[in-house]
Amino acid sequence: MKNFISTACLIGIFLFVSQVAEAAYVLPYPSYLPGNKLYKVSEFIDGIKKYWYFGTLTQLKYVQEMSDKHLVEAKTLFEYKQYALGVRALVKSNSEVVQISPLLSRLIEEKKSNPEIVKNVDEQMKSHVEVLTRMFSETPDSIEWTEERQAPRVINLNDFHTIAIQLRQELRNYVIARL
Amino acid sequence: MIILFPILASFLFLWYSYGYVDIAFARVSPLLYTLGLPVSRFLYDDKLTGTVLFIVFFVLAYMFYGFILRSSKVAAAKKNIFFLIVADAVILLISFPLFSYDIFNYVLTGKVLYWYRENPYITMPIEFVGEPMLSFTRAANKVALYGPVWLGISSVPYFLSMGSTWAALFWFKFIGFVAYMTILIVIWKKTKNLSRVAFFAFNPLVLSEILVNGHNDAVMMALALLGIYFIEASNILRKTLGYAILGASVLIKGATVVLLPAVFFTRWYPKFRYILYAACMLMVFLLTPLREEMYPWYAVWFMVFLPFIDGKIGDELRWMGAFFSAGLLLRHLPYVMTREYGGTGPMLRMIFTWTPLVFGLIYRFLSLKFYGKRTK
Repeated sequence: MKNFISTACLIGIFLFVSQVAEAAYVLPYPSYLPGNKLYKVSEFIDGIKKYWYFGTLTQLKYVQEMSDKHLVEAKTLFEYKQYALGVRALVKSNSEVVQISPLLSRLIEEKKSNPEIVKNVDEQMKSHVEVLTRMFSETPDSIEWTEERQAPRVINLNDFHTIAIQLRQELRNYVIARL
Repeated sequence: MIILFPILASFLFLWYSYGYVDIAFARVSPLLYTLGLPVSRFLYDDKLTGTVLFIVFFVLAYMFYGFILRSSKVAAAKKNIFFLIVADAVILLISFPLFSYDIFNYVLTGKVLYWYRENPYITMPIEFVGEPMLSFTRAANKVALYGPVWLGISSVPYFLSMGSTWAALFWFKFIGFVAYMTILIVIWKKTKNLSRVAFFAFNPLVLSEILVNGHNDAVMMALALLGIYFIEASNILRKTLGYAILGASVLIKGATVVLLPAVFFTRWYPKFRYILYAACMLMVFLLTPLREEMYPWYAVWFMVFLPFIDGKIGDELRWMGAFFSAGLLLRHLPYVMTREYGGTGPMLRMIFTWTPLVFGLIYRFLSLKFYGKRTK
């Protein structure tokens, strides 16, 4: 009986753990960062890839991939306190995120959508929000940034945080309505 | 009169092929399913009958092959041989691709590009959840496996089919038919030897993989052969065209890439060029198990060059090629016997592949040793 209970517990734990692992959306590792010689090359390749990823469903993959890539880039730059560059990467990520809902609508119009795609976007936005929350919890609300040979300027990090979260939350609401 | 026997056998094989129509076709192509229903009742469901008939067709095919190869040496048989080539090809063109479902993969990849307008190199067919062809297409969880030239060529049969799976099947096979005829024309133009044409045209493996199963390897090799044909011309314009065609062949499946350096190398050894081409393609063929497994239709890669090899060595290589092709055709037998690819399948496939070649070599050795000595 003891053996049976312990085996059942082990199976239960295994099932629970494997379910948790399946639900998580995995963000990529950071790619080249600004300052690296290959950063410009990778940006150029990304620009070319935009045309290679033709078709609504394929474009959605591209936009998702780019939004992830720039978010992770922003996170890494924030960790190194490179706020100006980090904010630029975050804006890039935001500009990709805003393209997702029109693409999803087009997918529905073209009858190519399925619950898996919508669920995937929801999972992605959920993990974006988690990363953003963690990222901004360790940064001040605003900072004074001085670029080389330029006058200092104030960057309101709180605004960027609010906008980034809001965009993703709106997208999640849009997605949840379609699930 | 005797010419009617291979034609009759082809008709019987046509009937046999429809016994393997998948039940999933009932939804997508009721016509195809209806055609297959009366045969599949006792063929698909009864493995033993299917296996026995496969062996009967196999034996008949190689018997006729040997007979035709013998008759092709007689000049008077030319008309009959040409008639038989066309008649057989047309009959097998309308057969069902019973041994491989790759052709449905070609159709579905074409659909991803031309119907769904998505990049097939990034988006897999399986991502279109409601797609009816998913019920019978295998390897739908892979992005496009072939080069851009193949995707370009596949636009022709795809649009001609106008959405019908049955028509798509026919038009994709028709592309293989055109490639088959191109190969035969090049062989005839270069060799002017009927038995060399017959060696390729009536090889049961070639007929099965190009005309029945409709593999695009025929298109790749037809372009490679045509490219080499033009490269060998003295006119610079034709030479350039030849390189372009050979390049197009590489952009179908990639295997013919080994021919590019070989073409340059043969400038210095023109006499051995076709041996080198055949050896290069055989090498790629023998390396394919490293990636997946030794698929029978890959044999077309080197079989295509065997008719061009002159002299005694050419005769011996064609002889070995014929025996090897028999072994490769038998690789389908474990699936016919068991209806599955796993289990004992891989081991049986390996045994079936090499047995005819080993027997052929022993027979050849013995016949040369005894019969050869007596004729002296």
